[in-house]
Amino acid sequence: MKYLLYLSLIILLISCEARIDNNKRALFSTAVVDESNNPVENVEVVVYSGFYSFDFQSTSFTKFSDSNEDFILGSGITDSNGEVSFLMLVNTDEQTSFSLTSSDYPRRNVSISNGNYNSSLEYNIPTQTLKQSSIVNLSFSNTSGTTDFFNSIISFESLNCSQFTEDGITTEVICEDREFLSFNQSASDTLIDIETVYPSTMTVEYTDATGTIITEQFMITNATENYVLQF
Amino acid sequence: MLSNSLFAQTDSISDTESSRLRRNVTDLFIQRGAPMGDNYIGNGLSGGLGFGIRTQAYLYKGLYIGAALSNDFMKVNDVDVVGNYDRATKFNAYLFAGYDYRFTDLWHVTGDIGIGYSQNKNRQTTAQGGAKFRDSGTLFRFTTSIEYEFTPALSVFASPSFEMVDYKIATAPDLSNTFNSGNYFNVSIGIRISDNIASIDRLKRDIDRIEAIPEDQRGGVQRIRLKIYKKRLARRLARRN
Repeated sequence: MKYLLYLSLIILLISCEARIDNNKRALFSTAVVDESNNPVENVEVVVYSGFYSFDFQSTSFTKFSDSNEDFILGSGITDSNGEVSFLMLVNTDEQTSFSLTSSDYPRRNVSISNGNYNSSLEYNIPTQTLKQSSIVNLSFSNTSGTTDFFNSIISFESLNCSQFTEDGITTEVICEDREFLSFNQSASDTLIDIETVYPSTMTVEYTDATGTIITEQFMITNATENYVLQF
Repeated sequence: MLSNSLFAQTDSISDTESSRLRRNVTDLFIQRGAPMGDNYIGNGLSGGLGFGIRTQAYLYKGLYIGAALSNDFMKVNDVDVVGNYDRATKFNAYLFAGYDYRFTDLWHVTGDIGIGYSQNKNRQTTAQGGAKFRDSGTLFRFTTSIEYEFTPALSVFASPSFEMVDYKIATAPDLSNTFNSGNYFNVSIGIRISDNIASIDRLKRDIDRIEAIPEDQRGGVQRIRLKIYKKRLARRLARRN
């Protein structure tokens, strides 16, 4: 029994060993520009992989592991042309992402699909655009006197993006995030603060009492924005 | 045995010693390795201490074949060259063939070539994520040694060796030249334990020498040796017949 316990312990230790791909090295390269398309220097680019879970509500992958459980696969700093290139390790078992960290911009995370790079091991990532963060104060004001209850979906640009590629060619970069908000539940106005980036757009979609889908779009061009949605 | 051997030290090979043949040899050693060459090993790793074991069997006179295992602990100097990890443990398992040349009673030089498997177990620090992975390849090795015998059964040796590893690392095309191969130069010191076949003539002389001592004056060691020598002689004679 004692030996069985020792054996179980050894098997448990071996099975818990955090592993990344053996016998592999890849080359990561990208360029970073600002919203005016000017190269951004001294941006720290870190490629990492961690444990992610799929969030069915927002239909996106959300990070499951603590930051200290991520494997840092490689890192580099952009030069005066905004370009960076470095050697990286590969972990095809977990979602691979990279972060862009700069003193002038909020951190941006982009998840990438390994399958598209695994054959060539050249992670040629399209140019990344850094944007400033913006806080949008959105309020819902009842001007019609309706007592109906509404559910809205607020879509906005997130700091976290997912890049989709096929045969090494980027087909889609999705940086959209969503908030689900119920309003007109009480007599007072409903308020929400949303963190997004600018320049970008924010879309609010809800269905009115007649069943019509109402869509309103707001331009985000400043660090703080205040919008009122009247219904 | 130790004192006999030390007193018997000469610059040439005596008749009795020339007829002594080795059967098996086992080396236990520690070594200092130095990664070298214009590749990811030479440019990105630095050597550390290692240890190992080699065992060899003699086929004909000084011609031998053998097998070896070793472990070396190395540090990463430059993560930009090797990848984002902190340390590597190199494990080698290889077969070899070579020749053992004895140029005096007490001194040998050996040289052998080997082929086998080499694997670097690479580890990240906790801050890097704590991941582990391996780089592996085919090992080609050239080993030399110079050996001094304290006794016929026990020697010390120093051994410079050179290793080339043909790594099987998949890389982006721009990186392949750097990760194709790695070279190491090692210097090891250790002890060599030999299992010798004494010649029939020498066994007879040793038996005669002990039997010349009156039985009641023989020490315990001499009595045991006499038994062993007689058994060995009987085996050798049986083998010859």
